[in-house]
Amino acid sequence: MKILEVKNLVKTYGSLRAVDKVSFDIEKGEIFGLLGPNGAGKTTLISSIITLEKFQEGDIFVCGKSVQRNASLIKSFIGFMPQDIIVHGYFTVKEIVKFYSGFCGVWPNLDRIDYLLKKFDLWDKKDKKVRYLSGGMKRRLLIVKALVHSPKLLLLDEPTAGVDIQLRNSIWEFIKDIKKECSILFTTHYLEEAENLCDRVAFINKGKIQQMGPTLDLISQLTTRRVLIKYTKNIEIKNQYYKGKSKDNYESFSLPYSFTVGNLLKELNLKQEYIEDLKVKEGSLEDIFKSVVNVKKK
Amino acid sequence: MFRIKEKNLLITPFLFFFFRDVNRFYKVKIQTILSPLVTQFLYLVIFGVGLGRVVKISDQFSYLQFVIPGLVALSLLNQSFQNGSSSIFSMKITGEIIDVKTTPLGPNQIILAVACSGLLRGFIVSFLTLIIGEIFHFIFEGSFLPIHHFFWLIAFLFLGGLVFSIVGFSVGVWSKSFDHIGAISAFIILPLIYLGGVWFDLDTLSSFWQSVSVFNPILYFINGIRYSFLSSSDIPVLKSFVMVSFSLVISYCIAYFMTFKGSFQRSF
Ligand SMILES: Nc1ncnc2c1ncn2[C@@H]1O[C@H](COP(=O)(O)OP(=O)(O)OP(=O)(O)O)[C@@H](O)[C@H]1O
Ligand SMILES: [Mg+2]
Repeated sequence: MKILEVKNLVKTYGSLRAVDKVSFDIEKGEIFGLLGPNGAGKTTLISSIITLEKFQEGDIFVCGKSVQRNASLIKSFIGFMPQDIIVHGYFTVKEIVKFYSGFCGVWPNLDRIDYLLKKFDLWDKKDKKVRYLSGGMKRRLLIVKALVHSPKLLLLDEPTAGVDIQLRNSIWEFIKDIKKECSILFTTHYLEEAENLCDRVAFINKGKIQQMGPTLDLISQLTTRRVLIKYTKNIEIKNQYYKGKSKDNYESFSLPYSFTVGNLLKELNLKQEYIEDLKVKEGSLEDIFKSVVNVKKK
Repeated sequence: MFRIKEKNLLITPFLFFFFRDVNRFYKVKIQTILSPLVTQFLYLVIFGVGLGRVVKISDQFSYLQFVIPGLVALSLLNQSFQNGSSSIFSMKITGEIIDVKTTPLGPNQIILAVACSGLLRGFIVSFLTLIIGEIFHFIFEGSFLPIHHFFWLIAFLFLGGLVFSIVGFSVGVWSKSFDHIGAISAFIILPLIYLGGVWFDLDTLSSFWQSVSVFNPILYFINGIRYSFLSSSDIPVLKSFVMVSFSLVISYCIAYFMTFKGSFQRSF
């Protein structure tokens, strides 16, 4: 079942096409990563799904219903975490979470609220006003709010920005955990994080989707594996994948994923005693990211 | 493990927005309840008692008796307005408006919740004003000021509180800065309230101001409330009631329109 369908979405600010004919969908239980440089249109896209922004063309469906016609029902299915921190002048952490649950149409479930506050390490701050929290804590509060009403679709706009490493790991664990209950669309600038978590990713730049697909497939299709070999002797053994010598005297080869390291060694016909050291660097989303951004700059 | 037991997209969001708003003004009760009471107290001392020695408006009642209903109305309208305007506006300042826009809360629920919490705040302040007024009356006139038409009083307080909360809400939605709110409050709302006959009878105005005042909706609230106490007023009570109900409809429509047109966006 498709939880989210975005069809030919166009959102303009004056003459700027912030989101330009974007289409994708998210299946039940899927984690989808939206990646791209600053100003690519990620926040604008997420804001359009949660009806913060009105779009000009296309349509968005959540659980099969158009967001334009069923805004309030759809918003009750979605847990949204904005990119910008909210200050909340008057209220304590727990009060805010309770009110938010009520806003979503769900009478506050105190067990769930306590569970989430503990899970996100906000338990000892629950009676503090928000302005006395640190930046990372405020961000965690945003996640707790997004989850309080057990949404079917989670929209997380940079959930781990400014969160320390330990907590980032626990947020990852949590995201993998709740995958059973809901689908997740999130943006991040940490590509390693996306690689670990996402079933599928889309690269977006200047409002357009540049690449999209299952994370592992994209890596194997669009990146190469770098193999670095240090010879014991000063010999010249190369093939068509040879890329040159690195600073620390390693010979560097760049292999497509269809060509294994075994193939390479066989082709080079290297004797074992010629090899002093051998390193393999897998391709990553970062490589794709760089190529996506660079193409556009040219 | 956690399932949504009862989900209600109409009542629950409304109730919690209302709870939140009541909580908000209650947390700053010195500013929202105590300080207006001090103002009302001073009005009573200066105008009701001080001026009352020299001013005579009617043979049937003293100036203090004339002013007390006016002050009850004044405190209600002013506090409801303040509550309505600061409710949404403060959310725009802190960014909490995003919580409103990304949850199932719709325009009707927001307007009604703000209207009810403003009404509650207006009720509290005007009720305490009435108690202070009654104490003054007891001290200076030897008895409590009777309320002749209790149900009219409730009806006018109810409608007045709703209308002014809703007007305040529209102003809060429209405003882009504290200056905007301050300007509306100082240049429009307060003059209307003061010219609406808190301190004086309509007859005492020049004929020009009399004809202008006919368009002042606040005149009808104040006269309605005054009628409830004194059983006498410049304007027939039914006419006041119709005008007041009419302004409720108008203000609601404007507020509804404002939630779509006003600066209610992600960034404003
Ligand atoms: N309210 C607005 N009015 C005009 N232009 C806007 C508005 N909001 C965003 N933009 C523009 O739309 C483009 C996309 O912005 P968006 O916030 O979606 O980027 P993003 O991908 O979320 O970037 P980041 O990684 O920095 O969060 C940018 O060029 C931005 O300047
Ligand atoms: Mg963004």
